[in-house]
Amino acid sequence: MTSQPAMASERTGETSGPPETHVRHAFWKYPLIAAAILVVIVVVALVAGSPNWPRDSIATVAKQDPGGSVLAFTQELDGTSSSWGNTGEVNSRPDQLFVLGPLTAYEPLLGAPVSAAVAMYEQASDAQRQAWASAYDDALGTITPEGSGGGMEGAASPDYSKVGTLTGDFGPVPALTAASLQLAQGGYLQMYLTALRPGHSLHLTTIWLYDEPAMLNTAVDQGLTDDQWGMMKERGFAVGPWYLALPAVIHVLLPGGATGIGFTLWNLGFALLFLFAVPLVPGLRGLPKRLRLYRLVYRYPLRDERVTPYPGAGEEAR
Amino acid sequence: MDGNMTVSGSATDQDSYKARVAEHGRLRSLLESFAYSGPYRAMFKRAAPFYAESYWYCMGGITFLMFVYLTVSGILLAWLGPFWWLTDPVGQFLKATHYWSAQAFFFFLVLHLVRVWATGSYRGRRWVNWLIGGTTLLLALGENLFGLLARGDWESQFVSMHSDNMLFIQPFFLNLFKPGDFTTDLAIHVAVIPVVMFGLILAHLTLVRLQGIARPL
Repeated sequence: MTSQPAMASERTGETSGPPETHVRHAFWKYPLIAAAILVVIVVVALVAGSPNWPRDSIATVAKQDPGGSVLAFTQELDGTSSSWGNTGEVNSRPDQLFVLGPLTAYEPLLGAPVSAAVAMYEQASDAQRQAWASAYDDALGTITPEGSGGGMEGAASPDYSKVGTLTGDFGPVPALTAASLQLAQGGYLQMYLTALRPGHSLHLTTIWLYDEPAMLNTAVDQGLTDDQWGMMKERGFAVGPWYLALPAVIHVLLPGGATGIGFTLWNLGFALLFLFAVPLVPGLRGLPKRLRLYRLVYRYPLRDERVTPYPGAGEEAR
Repeated sequence: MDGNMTVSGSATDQDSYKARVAEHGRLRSLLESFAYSGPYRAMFKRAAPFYAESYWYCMGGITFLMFVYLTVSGILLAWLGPFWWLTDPVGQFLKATHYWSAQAFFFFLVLHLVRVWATGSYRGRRWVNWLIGGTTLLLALGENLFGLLARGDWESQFVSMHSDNMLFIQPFFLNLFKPGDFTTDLAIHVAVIPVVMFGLILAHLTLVRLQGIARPL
């Protein structure tokens, strides 16, 4: 048995380090703490639940925001939609995928005028198509209320009640977007896009929803696109992934804007620094010893506490 | 080697309830009595340095426990599917425990990281295990993002496209990742990252057993 005076001898020497005597059953607390934590998790899960906001569908969005949907179809035709910025993901031309493809597939449902509009558009030259769609896009801009986009990144939706009043050389574009809106509101567009990729049935729907201004505007309203802390929030749920504070410490506005490659290299650099520099670079490596925070971590004997070495677990082990 | 060791010698005298009360007091002796009985005796019959008998040294173990619970609940969630976890009350509850145990996983992981750093436990050859642990942390952050994308609710839809537009527009990683695709997100969250993490955690624990608890600074 080692008593308090012997304990003191443990602490003699050049350091005031903690006793290194081996003791038994040091980890008896583990299962008790584990059980307590699991109980806490169950209780918190019951009381607070977890974030669960109903998904958008193309039909609900197209009914709530018909003007924005017309804008999305127009921009898919004139090449300025979000999906055109990422054709690697779409794996196809967005005008074919979201407008002309569905209209052709549902021709029997839509009737002869729509068939004629599709035929007229497909027979026109590329330059002509572009001119029609761009003119309509510009015209939609004239009936879009200013400053209603909800912030920096948001895009406003055209006033749908004024769409019928637009005049100009739009060719068949208004007929195409009106028929597409009809398909979208009836749920047929989502049905078509779901069936197109059976193994990835939600993929194209989500991409179309991002072409529509409503999704981004909702996110802007909820503060979910904030550059600095954006991904740390969860809509209607205060906790959020708070641990993204770890990478957020190094999250800055990069010169020339945030590109995927720049963002990746910047973060990779810090990750390598964290992994290799902390344990290997001399000045950094010795920081904890100088800071002496370990004194808050190690267990030191309480006053009058006996440290009983475990039989057979002696110092010869090291 | 200066770490845990199983002691072969007899310790019967010290293990008696009376001796334990004399050493540690009545409360601890009562609480830890399970560790001296039945199958737990062998499991807990491990000697460790006195200084490591601190709550701080439990943090890695609790993080691992959270990983185990996340795996078990995650397998159940993946088995029963997004419609179940988004709409059924039992599914919503299991999803909530999955969510909160992920919060706990990161909470205890950060505390574990602080403990390892503050005690300089990465010194010497242990830096390899620091590297393994750090890589596991980075993978866990990625797993968290794909977990958000695989949730299947509105925010999942939005963040998938937003991170897609931010990060994945270039032919990044040979276009292997398409965050806008729920199926891919779910597959990465369920079958790719956790498997790698499992291997790393196994290596991490094996090295801790081989190298033992680091000596004090």
